[in-house]
Amino acid sequence: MIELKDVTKVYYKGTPKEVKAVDGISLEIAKGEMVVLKGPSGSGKTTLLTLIGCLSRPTRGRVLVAGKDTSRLQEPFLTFHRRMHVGFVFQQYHLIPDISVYENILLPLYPLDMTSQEMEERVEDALRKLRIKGKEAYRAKDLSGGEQQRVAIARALVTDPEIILADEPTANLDTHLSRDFLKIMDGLKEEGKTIVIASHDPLVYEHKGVDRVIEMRDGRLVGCS
Amino acid sequence: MFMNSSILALVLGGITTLLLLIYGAYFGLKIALQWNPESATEEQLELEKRTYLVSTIVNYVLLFEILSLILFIYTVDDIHEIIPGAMCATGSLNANRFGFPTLLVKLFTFFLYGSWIVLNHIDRKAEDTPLIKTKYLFLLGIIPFAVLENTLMIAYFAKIDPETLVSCCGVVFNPGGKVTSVLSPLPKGEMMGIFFGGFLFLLLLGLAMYWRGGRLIAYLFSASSMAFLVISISSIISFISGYIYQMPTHPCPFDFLQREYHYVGYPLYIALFGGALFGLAVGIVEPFETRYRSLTKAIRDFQKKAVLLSMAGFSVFTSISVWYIMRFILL
Amino acid sequence: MSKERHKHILSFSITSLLRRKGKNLSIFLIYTLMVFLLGSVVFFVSAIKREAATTLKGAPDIVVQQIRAGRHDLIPTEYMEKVRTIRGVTKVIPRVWGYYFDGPTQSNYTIIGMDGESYEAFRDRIPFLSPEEAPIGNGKVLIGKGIARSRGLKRGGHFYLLRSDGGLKTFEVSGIFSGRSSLLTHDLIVMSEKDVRELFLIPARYSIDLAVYVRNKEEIETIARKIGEVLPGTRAVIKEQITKSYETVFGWRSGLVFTALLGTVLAFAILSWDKATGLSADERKEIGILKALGWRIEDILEMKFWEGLTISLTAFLAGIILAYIHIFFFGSYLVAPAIKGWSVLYPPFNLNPYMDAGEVFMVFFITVVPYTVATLIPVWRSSTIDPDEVIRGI
Repeated sequence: MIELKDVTKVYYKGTPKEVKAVDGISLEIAKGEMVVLKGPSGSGKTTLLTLIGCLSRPTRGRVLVAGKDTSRLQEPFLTFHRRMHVGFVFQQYHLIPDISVYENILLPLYPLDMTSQEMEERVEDALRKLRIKGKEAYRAKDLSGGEQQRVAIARALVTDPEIILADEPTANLDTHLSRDFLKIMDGLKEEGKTIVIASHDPLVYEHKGVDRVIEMRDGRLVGCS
Repeated sequence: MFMNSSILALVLGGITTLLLLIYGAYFGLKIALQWNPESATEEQLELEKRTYLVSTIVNYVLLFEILSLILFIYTVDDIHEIIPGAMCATGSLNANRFGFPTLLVKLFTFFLYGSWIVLNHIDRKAEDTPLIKTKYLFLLGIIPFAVLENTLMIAYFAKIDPETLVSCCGVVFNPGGKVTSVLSPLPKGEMMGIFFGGFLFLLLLGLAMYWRGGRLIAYLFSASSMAFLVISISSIISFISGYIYQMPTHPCPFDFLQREYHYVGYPLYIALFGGALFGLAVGIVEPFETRYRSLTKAIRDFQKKAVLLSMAGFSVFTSISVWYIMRFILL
Repeated sequence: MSKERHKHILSFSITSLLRRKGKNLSIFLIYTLMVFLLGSVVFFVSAIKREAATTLKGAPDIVVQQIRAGRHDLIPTEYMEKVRTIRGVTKVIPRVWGYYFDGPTQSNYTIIGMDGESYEAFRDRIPFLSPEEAPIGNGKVLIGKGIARSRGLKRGGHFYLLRSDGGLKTFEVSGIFSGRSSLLTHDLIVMSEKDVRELFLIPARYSIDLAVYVRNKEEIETIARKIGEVLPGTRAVIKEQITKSYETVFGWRSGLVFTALLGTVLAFAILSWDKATGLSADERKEIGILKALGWRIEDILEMKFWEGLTISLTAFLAGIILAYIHIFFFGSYLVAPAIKGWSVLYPPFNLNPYMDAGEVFMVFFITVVPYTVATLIPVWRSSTIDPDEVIRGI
């Protein structure tokens, strides 16, 4: 499902700020796997996620997502590919605070050329699945942290992607809510989705549903279990 | 030199558009020279973003060109009052030798911008954007015409002399007049025959293009739609305008853009030129259909749409004309 | 053709405009103000031009003036006999009229003397004229609404004017022209010929000029030339020349005012550019989020296009409607002083409402193009924000 071949990502190349966020990583993740990227902050986890999630392109190397080499795709095609295959749950949730829960979940569907009815059905599905039905009229900023995350997950799922990526999903949650999150992930895994989570929370990487933990440091893979 | 607000608006708008286009073409040239899809450097990513800047610019330039064409006709029509002998836009355009050339070059650049947007639209459908160099060099080639257009327009307004008598549509377009020999050499009956015959021919060709396609038919359709544009304009002068004015001796192709005729000229010309542009587009993209395999499907799909739109445009034009003819005959 | 997508992006754009009311409201107001000013100028000029055209419809085809020392002088009334003999001339009327500068109100009156035949011709030829039934002569006069207003005169009221020798002459208002129109009657006083002669001290055998009416309009130029031959030392002014100089003068005037307003347009463009460039952190983040969620650059561009279009169209409509009301129902208070340029009494109080699509379009062109050009590059910049930048929290 996901394949990285000797991937390097350099930011601010040629300037004093130059950073090698990801350095020569090769990695394969099979369909239906749940993988955790573990490592201290600054180890390159998020960058690796953005590469897998087609949010950015590698400076060197190849990235294959859902059978397509995305490393040299131009922006519209890269975005198109992301739309079709990847759902992203961001660390800060990144909801738009002033609009309703319902509209937040709709956002990924706007450019897809669906009828309003189809869009409505999709959102209803996601609301039901994440058990946030009844909250759809609230503005995103009026929700609690746990609820916000559910909305963020619903938004990631609404396009029905095969790959779910989550960046530090439990960083702002208490233990109870973190367990809730992992339960949701287990459910998605059962549906056959491929899941990659970047986290340094033991609760996450020690979770029994996780198939593999990949450890990162300074942009390199240092261990795999 | 004559000045009023709309002339000022036209000239300033024209210069602004030109500068914008040059700005866009500069980046276009940069893209054409430095484009390297295998590279993932910041420079390449920046170039990629610039392609959006350039295409946005040209989209707006086309829009401004259409707006400025409309404003130009309006202005030229408006100033006939200060030009002795002029009764409508035809007379004003005749005020010096820059009038009609300005209009013609304006129409020509309209087709150039339209063609560029079509190429860009097609190119963006393929992941490897194979036309990237072609289209940006083409853009560079449009600049001289944009410069010419604005130069002619400024010269035209600058050289208007309220003292010189000009000849207007009655003289210009009537049998024996200046333009007659070029645009309507045939009597009305034959002109009608050519017009309706040409329309049917174009429809058949369009259907053949839609169902079957093929290189020859594509070029033929494209050429025919440009020819039909010329035939239509001759027909407007020869008989259509007469029916609209309900006055067979008044062959003016501009008057019906005015309020008195419910602005019917606008839908008429927009349909006609829209039809012509889409017809032209069918041929413009044809050479790339087989040359770049990544474009083949996109081009075929586009041609089908363009043929339909082109036929629709011409049909709207013809229907409005027929409606006016019927009204004249029946009432 | 994909339609749903455009609809959804449009509706999102509008809600997103409404979410940022503060920022968008200021642009909207300034945009509206600009359209209002330009629209007012354009409507005003074209309304005045139309009034002038109506007035000129009643003007004589040719006016014959005596020229002495290069200036307009009194013309011997007997000359009319010579003009009348020229073929094609239907009527010659010697006219007695003049301008009167009124010190206290700082305004210029036009005073026309009429009797019998000329009074009838005047009434026949001017469609907007509708004085109440009122006699003129022996100090009884008709006055325009502007004069009535500035001097506080009513029907039956008395006022005086200074004679050319400094003495006073008293008049009685026997009628006031209706305010419906126009350039002609607003600051006009119509009195008997005798009264005018007394006021301006014009000798009995002389007139100010001769008004000539011609049967066939195509012959006007020939007849004017013949008059020049028959009466050396006179000048024959053709109506068409007046029309043309009207056009040119108004063209220039509006052009000048327009040029002045272009400064405003430029300032507005800079402001729009600035507003569009100065994306708040929130907006940047929002665009980054949208892109991360699968919006392409062209989707963002489209969203920004709809935003711009919404602002442009609403501001444009608001500005045009306000300009229309200002010019045709509120007496053009704001633009009149800049354009009218002569008597303080102008313009006529109520111009006849009229709107021409071409004029409206011109205002559209001159406001929307600068706005679009100014926002184009900032909009493109914001659409190319990298989503991963926002996601990584940079």
